Amino acid sequence: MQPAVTSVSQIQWDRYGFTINGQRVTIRSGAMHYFRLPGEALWRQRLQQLKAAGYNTVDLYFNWDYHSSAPGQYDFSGYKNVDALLAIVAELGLYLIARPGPYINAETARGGLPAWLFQQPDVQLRNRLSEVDHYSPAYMQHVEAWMDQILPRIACCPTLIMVQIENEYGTESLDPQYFNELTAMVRRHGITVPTMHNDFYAFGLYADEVDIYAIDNYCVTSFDHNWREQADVFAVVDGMESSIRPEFCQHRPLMVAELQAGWFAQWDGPSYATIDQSLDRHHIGLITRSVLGQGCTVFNHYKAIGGTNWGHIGSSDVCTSYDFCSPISEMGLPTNRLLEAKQINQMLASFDLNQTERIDWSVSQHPAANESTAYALRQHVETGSRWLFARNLRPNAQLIPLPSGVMATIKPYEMVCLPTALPLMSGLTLIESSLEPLGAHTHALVFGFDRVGILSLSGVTGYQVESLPKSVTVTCENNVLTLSLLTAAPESSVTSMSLTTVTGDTIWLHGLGVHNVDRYWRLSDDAALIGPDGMEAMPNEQWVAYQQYDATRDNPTNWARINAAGECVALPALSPSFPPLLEQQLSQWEYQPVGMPSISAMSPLTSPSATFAELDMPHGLIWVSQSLAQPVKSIAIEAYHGITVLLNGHQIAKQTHLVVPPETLADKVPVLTIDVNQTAEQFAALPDKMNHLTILVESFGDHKGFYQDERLPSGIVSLSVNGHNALVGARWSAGMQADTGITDIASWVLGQEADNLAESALLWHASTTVELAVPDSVQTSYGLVFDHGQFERIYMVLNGVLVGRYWSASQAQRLFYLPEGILNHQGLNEINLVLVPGELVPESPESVAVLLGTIRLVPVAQYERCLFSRETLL
Amino acid sequence: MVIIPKILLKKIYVSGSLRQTAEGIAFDFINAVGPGILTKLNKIMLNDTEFTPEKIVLKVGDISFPADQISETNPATVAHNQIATCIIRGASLAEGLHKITLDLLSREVGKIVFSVEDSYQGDPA
Repeated sequence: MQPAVTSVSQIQWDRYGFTINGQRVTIRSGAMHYFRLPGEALWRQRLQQLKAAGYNTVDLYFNWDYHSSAPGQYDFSGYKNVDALLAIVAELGLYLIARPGPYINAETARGGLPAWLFQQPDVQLRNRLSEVDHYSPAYMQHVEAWMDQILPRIACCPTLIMVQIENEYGTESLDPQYFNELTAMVRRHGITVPTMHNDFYAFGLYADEVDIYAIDNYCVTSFDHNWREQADVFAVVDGMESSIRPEFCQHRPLMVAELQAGWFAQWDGPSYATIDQSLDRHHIGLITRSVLGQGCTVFNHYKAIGGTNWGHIGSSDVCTSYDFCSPISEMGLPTNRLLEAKQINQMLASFDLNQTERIDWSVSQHPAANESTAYALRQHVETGSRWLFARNLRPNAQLIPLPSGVMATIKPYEMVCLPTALPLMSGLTLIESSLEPLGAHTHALVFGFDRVGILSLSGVTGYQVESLPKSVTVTCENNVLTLSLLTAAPESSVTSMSLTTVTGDTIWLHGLGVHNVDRYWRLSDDAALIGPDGMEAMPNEQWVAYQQYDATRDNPTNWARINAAGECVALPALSPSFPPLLEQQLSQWEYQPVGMPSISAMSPLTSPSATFAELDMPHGLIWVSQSLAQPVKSIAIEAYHGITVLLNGHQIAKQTHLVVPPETLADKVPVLTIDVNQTAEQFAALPDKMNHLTILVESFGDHKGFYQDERLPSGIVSLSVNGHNALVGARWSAGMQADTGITDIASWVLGQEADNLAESALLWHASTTVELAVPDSVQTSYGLVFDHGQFERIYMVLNGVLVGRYWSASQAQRLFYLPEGILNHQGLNEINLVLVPGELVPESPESVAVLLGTIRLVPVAQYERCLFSRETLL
Repeated sequence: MVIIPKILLKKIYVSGSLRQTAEGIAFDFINAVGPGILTKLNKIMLNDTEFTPEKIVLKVGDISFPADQISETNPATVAHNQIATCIIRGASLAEGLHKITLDLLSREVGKIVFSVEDSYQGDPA
C-alpha cells in the first residue's frame, strides 16, 4: 500500500514509474485551473474533493496573462494568490505537477500569453514564425521575467514532483534551444524535480529535451457521432506500449500528461448536456484502465475539476462555463465520472500496479471468449502477481476466462482489472477474481458484490459470517476460501465476513451492493466510509461527508465505517437538518437605458485601426464614433466579434461573429457592408448638419493560439464610408473592460449623447438585489437560469464581478454558476445585467421586463454536511 | 492551423508513393496521428498547380470518397495507422522532383496543411 504524501525529498524514475522518498507511487493526477475558480475557499474545497476521490496529485497551469496586465507588473494577490494556493496543495499532501507555460492554451485568451506581450517590439511569440523556429531574444527576455516571478513560488511547494516545459509545442525543425533555455530557467531557480513535455501528436516531439516524455490524448472531441461505434477510438493509448515505449520511454515511465476526462463546450458546439451524455463514466473508465493496461503509471485526468470563464479569462470560442464535464463539476458537484475515477484511484492506492510487464495472453482456445476483450495481461516483475485487463467495446456482455477456466463477465463498454496470484496481507493470496477489487486496508479487503462472479483466496484457515445472503455461497477447503456470487447483492447492502488467516490474524472481507460500490470512500490504510454521496479530505485526518438532499428519498441512507480493525460498523442515520432551499424567481428589477457616451468625451483615435489590441483593451466593449460632413451612402466595416452600427443615433445594422470557422483562420476578417440608401435613407444625409456614425464593438476575448490564431484581431480592422477610410479623425471610448466587470457603470447609465442625437437607448441596464441565508451545514451551489428571454446578449455582473456572458443564439449555456465567494451565501448580493437587444429593441422599462423573460436563482444541488475526524472513525 | 513538424511528415506521407496511375496522379499517406475523421479536403497543390476537390478522389481501403462530397455530414474516416490514397483524376505527372501540398480539415484538430517533396521516376519499364 502506498504511503501518505509528505514533502518530496527524493524523486527517481525508471521505466516502471516514479519512486518518491524511496516508495514507488502511481501518479494519479487531476488538473485544476485555479484562475477559473475565483477564491481561496473554492481552491481548498475542490482540492479536498480531489483528494477524497483518491487522487494523489494536482496538475496546475500557471497563467501568465492572469497575473500580468502590463510589462513588469505582476499581481499575486487575492484571487491570484498562488502562494496561498500552493500552501493548500502542500497542506493537503497532494503532489504538484506545475505547468508555468509560458504558453498554456487551456482555452484561455491568447493561450495565457499577456496582451501587452503582443505589442512589444521584436517579440516572436513562442520563438516560431509560421511553422519555422525563429529565436526571439526579446520574447525570451519577457519569458524570463515571468519565470522569475512564478518559478520561485513553485519551487517553494514541498510536494512539487514535476515541471512542464512549454505546452504541446511543435515546429518544423524542432530546434532544442527554446526548450533548453526554459529548462535552464527552471534549474536556475533551484528546482531539481524532473521536467516534462506533453506531446499532442504522440510522435516524440522534444523527447530528448526533457526528463519525462508525455503524450496528451483526447480520443473523443466530436459529439455528433457515437464514439462507441468507432472501433479504433482508443487507438493512440492502445499503441503506447508498442510504439511510444520502445522509441521514447525505454528507461522512463509512460505518462499521459492530459488524459481525457471531459471536453469543453463552445459557442457553436454541443452543450455540456450533450457532452455529458457522450463522455459518461464508461469513457473515463475505459480510457484510464486502458492506459494502465499499457503499463502507464503516471496519468493526469484533464480536467478533474471544472471552472468558470468569469471576467475575460476564456478564449473567444468558449462560453462562460468551463465545466469541461469534469469529474468534479464547475459547481463542485461529484459526477458519475468522479465515482468511476475514484474506483480506479482507490484500487491503485491499495495495490501495486507499478512494476509490471506485459506477457502473452490468448483466449482463442475458449470458444465462448472474444479475443478482442483480452486487452492485456501484466505481471509484476518482483511478486509475480498478474493483472488481467479485460475490455469490452461491444454493446453486449462478453466473457473472459480466468486462469482456472472460470469465465468472467464483462459488461458492455466496461473495462476491468482482475488480479491473480496477488499476495495480500497476513499470509493471504488472492488466487483469482472475476471482480475488480475496490480497495484494501490493513485489516480489510473490499469488493463490489454488484454482479455475478467468484473470488478465491488462499491462506484462509476459517471464516465467520453473521448471516450469509442467499446470493452468496462460500466454501473453505485446504486453506482456500472460494466465494461465489450467484446474483448481484442488494443495492445498499454490505456483506461482511471475518477470515482467520494462516498467520492467525483476522482479516475482514466486505462485499458492497451496487449503490455502495460508488459510495465507498477509502480514507486511509485503516479507515473508510461507506454511504456518502460526496466527500472532502481535509488536513489533519479530518473529512467532510455529504449526503444529497433528496425529497423523494423515503428513508435516510445508512452509512457505515470501516475501522482500524477492519470491521464494518454502522453509523447513525444522517437526517437532513434543514428544509430544502428553494429556487427564487428574480422579478424585482430596476431598468435604466444606457446612452452612448458623449462624442466630446471620447478620445481621438490615434491608431490606424480600432482593434482592442491597438487600443490597449484586451477585451470588453468599446465605442467608436466619427462625425462626417457629407451624406453617408455606404459603409463597410471589417470587424470581430460583434458590432452594432448607429447612424445619427439610430441602429441601422448589426453583426456578430463569435465563432471563427477553423478553415478561415487568420486569413479573413468578416466585413459588414451597409448600403445606407437601402437600409436607412432617412438617416443617411443631413445636409445641414454633421452625420454621426457610432459603432459599439464587442470583443468576446482573444483567440487561444492553438491554431496560431492568437494574433487574430478583435475590434474594427477597417472602416470605410463612401469608399474612403473613415477611421482617420474618429474618436473612441472604453465601455466595459475590467475583469471586475463594469468599470464605470454610473457614467454608462447616465451618459447621454451631448449633441442630443441619441433618440433611443442602445443598451439597457437591469439591477436587483437578493439576500441568501444558507445554513452552515448545507453545501450548495447557486446558478442563474435564463428562460425565454429575447435579448441577444446579457452580461452578468455579481457583486461587481463579471460572472457570465449569455448569447441567445448559442445553445451552449442557459445555466450560469455564481461562484461561492463572489456570491455571498449569508447576506445581500447585487446583480447587474447589461442587456444587448436583438431584433426587438425595447423602448421602455416595461418592454425591457417583457423581453428579459424569467430569471431564476437556483440552488443546483443541496448536501447535508457532516464532519468526521480520525478519532470518530476509528 | 495545426503545425505538422517535418519529423511527423515523414511518418504521415508514404515516401516514394507518388505515381502515375490510369486514373491520374496518386500518392499515399498514413494516418499515424490517431483516429482521423476528415470533414473537408480543400485542395491539393502539385508544385504551382492547384487541384480543387472536384478533381480529387480519396481512397480508404475499398471505399472511394470524391473529395467534393466529403463534408461534416459525410466525413471520410481514416483509421489509425490506415493508409489513404489521394488521386488527382486525369492529371499527368512529369518525371522529377515534385512538391505536394495537402490542405484538409480534420474533425479532431481542425485545418491541417502539409507539404512534402517526392520524386517520380516514370513507370518501371
